[in-house]
Amino acid sequence: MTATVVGMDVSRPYSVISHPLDGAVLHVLTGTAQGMSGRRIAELTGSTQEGVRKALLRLANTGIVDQQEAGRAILYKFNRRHLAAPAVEQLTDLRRALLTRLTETLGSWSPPPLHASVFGSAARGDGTSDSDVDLFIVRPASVADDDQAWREQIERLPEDVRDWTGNSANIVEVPEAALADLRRRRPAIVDNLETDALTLIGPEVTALLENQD
Amino acid sequence: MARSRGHSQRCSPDDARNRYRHAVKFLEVAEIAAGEHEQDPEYATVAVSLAVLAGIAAADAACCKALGERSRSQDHHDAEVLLKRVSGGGDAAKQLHQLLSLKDEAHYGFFDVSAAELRKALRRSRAVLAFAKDALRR
Repeated sequence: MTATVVGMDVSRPYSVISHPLDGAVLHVLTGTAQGMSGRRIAELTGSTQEGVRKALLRLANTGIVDQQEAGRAILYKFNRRHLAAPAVEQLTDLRRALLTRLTETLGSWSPPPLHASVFGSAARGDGTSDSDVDLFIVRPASVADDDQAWREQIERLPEDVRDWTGNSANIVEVPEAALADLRRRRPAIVDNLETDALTLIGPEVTALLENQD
Repeated sequence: MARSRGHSQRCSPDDARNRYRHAVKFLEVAEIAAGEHEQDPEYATVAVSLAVLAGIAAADAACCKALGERSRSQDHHDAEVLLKRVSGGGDAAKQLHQLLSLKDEAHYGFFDVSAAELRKALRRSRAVLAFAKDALRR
């Protein structure tokens, strides 16, 4: 089965990525340098093979996805020469862009955090448009709880996240002195952090929270 | 991890995060061992072996995340081929290749690892980890 390329709708070029499943398929394909089977794309997107087959047909019609026959299989590949390719890559890379922007913002803080990481669905990449962006931030021992500059940074961050993404930020702020207690008591958040967290600033979260006895 | 198919094994984003954590730990211990090599040169061999394991785990993490599979071949150089299939993975695959070329010699103690080789191995391992960390952020 080889689709005839109909082409991008030049009057509505955004239609290349207007269907949510098309976005998920493009997210997978922009992450690979070679062709991938429809079945594997379905696995990676967590979608049905039939849904993905239809999405691939739509995308192949616009030319943003190429099809290659490989024996009895058809492999699909993102067409990086397509005019829409840079825009698609930018859209499918927004999670990384958010993490980069968070890292840059936290890196510019004065006083700086001892550690900051994102955890929960934003770290796993399985959230929805309603999901909070969960952040774990460790305040260094040298910074008082009521330090004005610190407090302003902490309060501004959720506003920044909302402006950047439309999502709420949930900040778990922990003073450095409380880390030993977290290591000892190991409340549920420690497991969540060790399983999911992506470190943005400072030591890796696993090193920060591992038992140091 | 899911079932194996040929020289590769299916894996999930959870597996990707697990393998990345392994990579971080291997590198952490490699750096501790590297810090001891001036007292005892045999630590350099141990540090290189751990740096290689860190690189392999990081390659697995990037491949699990982007491709949904990781190499299970006896020949670790197959992991390079898989890593090249990850978008932007060409340079990380080269670093892994250089790292793996030290593997057998260091692992089985066929030669003493020099301080310069140790530094290179750690640098290459860090480069593959940085690529995996970035891949996990997509």
